[in-house]
Amino acid sequence: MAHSTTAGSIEEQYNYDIVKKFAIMALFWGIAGMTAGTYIASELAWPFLNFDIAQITFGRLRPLHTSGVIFGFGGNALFATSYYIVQRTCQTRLWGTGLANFTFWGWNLAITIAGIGYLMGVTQGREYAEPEWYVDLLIAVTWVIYFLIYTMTLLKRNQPHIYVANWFFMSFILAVALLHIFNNLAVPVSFFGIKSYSLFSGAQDAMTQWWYGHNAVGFFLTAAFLGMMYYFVPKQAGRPVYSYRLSIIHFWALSFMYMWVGTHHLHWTAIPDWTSTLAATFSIMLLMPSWGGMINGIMTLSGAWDKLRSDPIMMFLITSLSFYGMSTFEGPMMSLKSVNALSHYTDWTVGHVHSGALGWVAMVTFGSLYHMMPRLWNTTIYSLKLIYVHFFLATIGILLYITALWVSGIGQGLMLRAFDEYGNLAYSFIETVVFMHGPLVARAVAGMFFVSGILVMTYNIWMTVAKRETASDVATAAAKA
Amino acid sequence: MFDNIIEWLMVLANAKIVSLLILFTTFSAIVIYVYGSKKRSERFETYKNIPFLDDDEDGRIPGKQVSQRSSHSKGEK
Repeated sequence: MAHSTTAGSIEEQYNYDIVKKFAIMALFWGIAGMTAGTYIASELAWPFLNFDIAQITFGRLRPLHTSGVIFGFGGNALFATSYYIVQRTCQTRLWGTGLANFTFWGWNLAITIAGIGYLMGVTQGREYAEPEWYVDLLIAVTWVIYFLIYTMTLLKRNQPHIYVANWFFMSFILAVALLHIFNNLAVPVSFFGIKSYSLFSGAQDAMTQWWYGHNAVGFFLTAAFLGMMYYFVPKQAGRPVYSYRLSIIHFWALSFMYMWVGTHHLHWTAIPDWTSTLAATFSIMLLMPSWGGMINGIMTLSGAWDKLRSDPIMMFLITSLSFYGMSTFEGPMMSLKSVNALSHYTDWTVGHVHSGALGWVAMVTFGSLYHMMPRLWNTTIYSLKLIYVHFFLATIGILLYITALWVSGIGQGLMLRAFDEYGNLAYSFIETVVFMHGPLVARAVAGMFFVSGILVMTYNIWMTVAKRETASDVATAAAKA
Repeated sequence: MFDNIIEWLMVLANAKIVSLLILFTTFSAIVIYVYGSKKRSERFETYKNIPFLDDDEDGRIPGKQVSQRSSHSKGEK
């Protein structure tokens, strides 16, 4: 690759060290989080896997899985790619090397402390915000420093215009700060105690939680990964994004609309009806910017469609956009009150989340890391064939997962709502569990496919770095001789 | 008349309509701004090349490229 010619000067100009650290930790947490997910999926299919050990039961491992994949894998990948992109699009070195290292240790320490706590049963019981107050404080400090580093780097840029990927990252940083602080307003029972209680209660607490929960999806798992997409898809395709103006409209439409939709998680509960309707309406409207962005990403490949046959990294990126389009269609549909009456509290919701999380978030991350990591180490990828293997393992895993949970969830929903001719429930709860066993086995197998994929990737990246280091050693020895 | 408008704005229940009007107007203004002028549109579309500006394929130090190109871009604006 031609980029190797100026690697020394690039490494001097940019802070790649911090990007490397975050990228490696993304893979570490990816393996840990996805393995935990596959294990608890297996526990649902084969309950003996609990082994009567409290620390590895579903309730304890589930937050370890979600935090591991969202904040460990996704968060570290976002730190890595945002620090990479802001430097390369602003053509300046990252501001605050010491502070950037603080964000690395702060973020990963927070996830570690939170994870150990989950296994011990320490949680504040808020979905995707399970850590107790002391971890929340560490996250808040780390996040403010992240904001400072990003803003200062943008301020000292050498490029007059701020590229749109950075808009998405800034929106992500600001929104997550807002969400994290307000959702975690709590009073600790004592200064040295680990337990705290939320400032909110009842329906207000639920609405705050899902304002946080859905905007975590909107700004952490969508806006930020769109920032990744707007840089790595054009770079990998070797052609600029299809329409820059569409990317601007995409950004503003998402930013305006996402904040309103959280309450669609609380349809048919004790919340005011108008909030439910408002959330469903904005959810439907969100389809337009989401598909606008998807089309913008996919059309970037216009005129170079052959890359979909010849470039496995491009296959990851374009497949991720396809899943982004699919899950942003399914989501608004499920937010309709009538559809939600069937889908809520069933596995359909879990399947939908994973079509976004695996299909969009993980696939775009894999594609981006495959593009970025060899460049960080100034080398080429160890094996292109292994990227193909990873792609097919991941894709088969996702498709199996989603279809299994469609069957499980829709079947479960229909059974729970069925009445006999006398108006009694047609099925008992245990009959729905028996029905779901087959799909749950398929879901666990799907997880195994996906975990195998990231293991193949890690081996490929490991060998890429090892090969580079071996080559450097040989060159050094030759120079000495 | 003016007092009535202020009074109406002060009612918390009307916040939904006020927010909708503010956000919809702002968003419409952004759309008009982005697509409203041919010259501006052309300028926006040049920004799509930013990820390629520090490509090192030609063997030059990115920083040096930047200074040349950024002054060029500033000239365009």
